[in-house]
Amino acid sequence: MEDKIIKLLESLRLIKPDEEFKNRGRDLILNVHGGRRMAEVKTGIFSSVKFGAALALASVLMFVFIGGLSYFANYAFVADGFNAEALTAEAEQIDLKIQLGQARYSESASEVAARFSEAEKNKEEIDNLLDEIVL
Amino acid sequence: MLEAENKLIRQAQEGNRGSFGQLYDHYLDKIYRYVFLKVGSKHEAEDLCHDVFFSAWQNIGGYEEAGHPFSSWLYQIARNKVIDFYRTRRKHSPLDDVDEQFIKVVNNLEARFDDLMEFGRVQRAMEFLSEEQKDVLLMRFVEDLSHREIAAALEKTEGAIRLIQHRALNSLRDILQNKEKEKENGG
Repeated sequence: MEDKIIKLLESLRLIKPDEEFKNRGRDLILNVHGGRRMAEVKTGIFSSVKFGAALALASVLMFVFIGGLSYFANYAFVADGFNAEALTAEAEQIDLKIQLGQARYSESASEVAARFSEAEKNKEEIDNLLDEIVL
Repeated sequence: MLEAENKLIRQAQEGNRGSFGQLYDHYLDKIYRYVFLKVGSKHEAEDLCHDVFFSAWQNIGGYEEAGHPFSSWLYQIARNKVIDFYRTRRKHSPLDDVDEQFIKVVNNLEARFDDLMEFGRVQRAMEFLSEEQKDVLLMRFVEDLSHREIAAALEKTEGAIRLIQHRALNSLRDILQNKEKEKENGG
């Protein structure tokens, strides 16, 4: 059985392409398509395009990287200056608020003291009146 | 292997069309037969063969012998083209529903066959084999490649190729014997 299979498979060696296809195919590959030289040119263009694209991408990345670095450096410098001023201003504002608060407190305290003193006066008056009534 | 093949390859790598033409003339029949038996259609086989040799011409600069024969390199391209063909155009091998053109080609060989029906049986039985087993049987017995050449084309060791061949023949024999038994039992 095995020999029969092998013999049968070997007989398929007689299968061949048409001569017309064979000749036409050779001409097409070697002449019409421009052959290997064209392929080399295409490959060359493609590889140079690839190289160019890679170079351009690398340049863009470098630009972005350097730009990013300088931006952050500048931003950090400005931010430092801004922060110092802002902090001072803020600190001054805080003091001002405290002073205002103290002022308000002082104002309210004097009012309270006045009321107390008035109350003290009233107290004396009340004491006097009580003395008169009792006496 | 073609006489002075290495010289022709070197010249073709330098852009010599005539040298590549000689390589084409020498290998076309083999590659065509392999592709034809894989796709089962004359027109598809012609298109794929054209792709194989065009691709080989474009990429011959990248071919390095390095222990791999040129024929194996071509079969490797052909095999990849056939795989792409089935991946993009058809899901199944057409050999199970025998192509009309395939029958015509085989009929032309009828005088050489003792029994054309026997060929049909083997052909149908081969459909039960894996693509790898089919490749090995076709390359070994139809294309008459050495185990070394097949190993290079399929990127396997020679030992693995011998094993695949042995199993493929056993499977084919079992399938055919089972079919015979089914036939005898009227199945």
